[in-house]
Amino acid sequence: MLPGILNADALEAVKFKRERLRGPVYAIAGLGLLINVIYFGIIFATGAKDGRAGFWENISEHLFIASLLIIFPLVAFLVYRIMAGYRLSDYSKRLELEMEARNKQLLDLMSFNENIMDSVNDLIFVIGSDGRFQFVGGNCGDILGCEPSALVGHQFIELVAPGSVARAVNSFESVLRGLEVPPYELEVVNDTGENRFIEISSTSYSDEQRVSAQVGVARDVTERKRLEQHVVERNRELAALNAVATAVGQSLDLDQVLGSALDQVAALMRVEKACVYLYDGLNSELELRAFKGASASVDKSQRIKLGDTVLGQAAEQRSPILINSNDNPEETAAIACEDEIASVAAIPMQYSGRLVGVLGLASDEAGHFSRADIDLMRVVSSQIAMAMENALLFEDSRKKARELAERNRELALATDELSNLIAVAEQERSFSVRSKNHHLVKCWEIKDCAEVGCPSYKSENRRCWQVAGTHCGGEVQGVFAQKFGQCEKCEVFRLARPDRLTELGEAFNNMMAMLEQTAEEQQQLQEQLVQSSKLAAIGELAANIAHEINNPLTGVLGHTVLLSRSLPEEDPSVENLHIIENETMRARDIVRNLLDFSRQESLSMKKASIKKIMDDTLTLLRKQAELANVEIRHRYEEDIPAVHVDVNQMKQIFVNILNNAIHAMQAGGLLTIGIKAVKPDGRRPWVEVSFSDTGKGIPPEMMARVFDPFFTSKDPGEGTGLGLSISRRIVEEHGGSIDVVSEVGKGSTFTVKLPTANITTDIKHVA
Amino acid sequence: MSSMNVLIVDDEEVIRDVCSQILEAEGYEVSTACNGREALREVSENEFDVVVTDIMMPDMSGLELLEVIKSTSLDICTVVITGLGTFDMATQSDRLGAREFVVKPFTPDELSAAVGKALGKQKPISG
Repeated sequence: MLPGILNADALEAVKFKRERLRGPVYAIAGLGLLINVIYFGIIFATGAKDGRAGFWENISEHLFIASLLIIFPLVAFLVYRIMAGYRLSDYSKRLELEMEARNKQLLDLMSFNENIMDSVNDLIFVIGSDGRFQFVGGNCGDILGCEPSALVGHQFIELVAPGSVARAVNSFESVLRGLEVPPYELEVVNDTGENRFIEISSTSYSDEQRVSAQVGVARDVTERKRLEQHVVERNRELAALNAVATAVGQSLDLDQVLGSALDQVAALMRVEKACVYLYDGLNSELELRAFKGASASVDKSQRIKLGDTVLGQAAEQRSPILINSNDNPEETAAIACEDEIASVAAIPMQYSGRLVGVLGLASDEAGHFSRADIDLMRVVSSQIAMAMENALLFEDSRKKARELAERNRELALATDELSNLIAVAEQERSFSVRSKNHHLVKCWEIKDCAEVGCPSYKSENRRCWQVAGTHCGGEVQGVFAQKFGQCEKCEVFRLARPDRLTELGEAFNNMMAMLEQTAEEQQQLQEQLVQSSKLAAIGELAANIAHEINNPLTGVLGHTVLLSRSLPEEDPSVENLHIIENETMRARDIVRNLLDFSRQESLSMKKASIKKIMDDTLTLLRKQAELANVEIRHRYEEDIPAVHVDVNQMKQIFVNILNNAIHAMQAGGLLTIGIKAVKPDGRRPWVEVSFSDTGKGIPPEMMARVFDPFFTSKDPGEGTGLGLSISRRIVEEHGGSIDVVSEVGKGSTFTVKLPTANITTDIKHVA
Repeated sequence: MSSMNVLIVDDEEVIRDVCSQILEAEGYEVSTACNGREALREVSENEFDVVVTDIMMPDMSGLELLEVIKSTSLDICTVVITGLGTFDMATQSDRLGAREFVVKPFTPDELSAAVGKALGKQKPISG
């Protein structure tokens, strides 16, 4: 039970029951009256008989009785008073108790009230009709930052923030007029100057039928208000995001996406100018991609270095930059061009932590952007960044799809071309077909060379790696198969084929070139084979002819010599006979040379000194060299090991080579003959004999053929073209080798390598 | 010392003739035969110090002749004259006992030198 509120029983107990006493009092007074009436009735009834005398005689009695009429009510009154007095003391005692109880209740109530006032979070107030605080209680300190007593007597309107004054006055007057006013919110400024929001519930307080004040409760709703504002803010953000997302999501075209994004952002931020720069990570630059509101003269190819201007700085720092008063027009020029602006915001657009671009906003109004705007823009810009990313991806995939289609088309064309070429090759039984391969970059373009003499120069069909004798210095030469392995490593080979299709075309061309070359080689081999059989036939023929010719020659020679001997020396015929003799000897030599080539005979191997063989050979040729004005020099090493050779055949080889050398230096020159021993580790030692001339040299295209039979650079009649061919055969039969290096205009060096004696015992000997 | 007897064997008369003239001029007693068979008959009937023979002859080749001469105990030097002066031919002749190998066409000096050398050489002891 709440203290201070009396219950019905207690009220009943202290109630004075006057009606209970009234009955007996009235009964006594009535009894007196009844006795009088009865008595005087009797008197008057009997009096008539007795007359008047009797009456007077008994007057004292009559008076006594009559006095009862007074006495009885008196007694009754007395009784009543006595009774009443008793009851009054009882009542006052009860009243005292009652008072005591009520006092206690009142104290409880007051304490309760005080507790409420102390513990309540709200502010409780009473404001008089003059608008001054009459009472202030509750949590005044937290809400208004002052003691309640400090407010009493002050106008409440002093506390209200300017924006809320009208509402406060309206509501106050409404309450005073006795109207029901629902709880309302006011913004107040407290003692510390802080703005707070309070919610007021108040009612009027009437005094003598007149509203004299209003009583109310003020509750601090600042936190709630803040949350509400936050919610509103969030809602705005969400709405903005939604709007932007919807707008940018409607297209996958980057320009459309950016266009609608800028429209949305400009509307949302109430700005006149907005732009988007894309981030070019390769060059660390920003590139203008979309703008709104800028003057038409804006340069669309504008690029900003990272770190330059507000936009570049925002991009570099990956955080928004806000300028609310434009102190440096240079910095903001990228957004507003030449126009004057006051506020600028640069917001980097990032997606998955990656910078995509920068959003720039500009307004003519100073202080246009708030922090909250920037926060919102940050969210919005990431949304735009995502849409941009999608659009870029889409653009990229569309581009790739286009490329793919293009490649497919090219591939189809290439496949068609190649299969056509293969068909042609099949039909014509020729490997000479080539893919045109328009994309092939020519070697002279890559090298920027002008080697007019190079077989590859300005030739559409001859790739440098396919032909021998190209002029790229130091590079491996020779036929395709020999060159290809090396050429594959050359940058020309790589750069010539810029894409896969060109590679494909060139792979086909290389294949064809290789096939063609193989076919050529096969052809050559076949020709050589034919040549060999021809040679064999010639050899046989030569043998027969030699035999047939030699017999008559023997007769001619013998008889000529005999005849010339039989004549005296001064006989004029002797000279003629000598001519016959010499000519016969020449015929003999020709036949012998022919026989030498066709001769397939075993070697007569013996241990011999290569120096001695060389010296013996040179004695035969010294005269010839002198005539040709050729100087012969020796470069013989000491301690040359013996070789196992057929001495005569060695001489024949040396004669062949020396003859050629002298022939190559018809205007004179130097012939250097070197002999040295080579002792490589773990391999057979050999003796190397070299012949270096200073002659005209051998052109590269002839190099591969110098050892071929019947190949000669000499004029007809001067050589059979068999010398080097026979030489090589003989050297190879000795287990050695012969090769040549040559430079046109400088001379040639032939080198004969022969195994040393001790390890050539496996060579077949003549029995 | 009586002069040496030489038998020239060649199917060509010109050769026989020129050889005869060359060797007669050197003081040899010269007989001729035109093939191997005839030569064998000559050899069996007369004594010869030297047989100078061609290789390629009809009826019986010089090589066969050499082989027969080698197989007998006759003390005859042999010299081969041939128009086919191959190494093989030379080695074969050598194997069959020929002392010298002269390739046609030859000068008179070459022939007489070869015959002289053949005669000057020690004849191997035949089994």
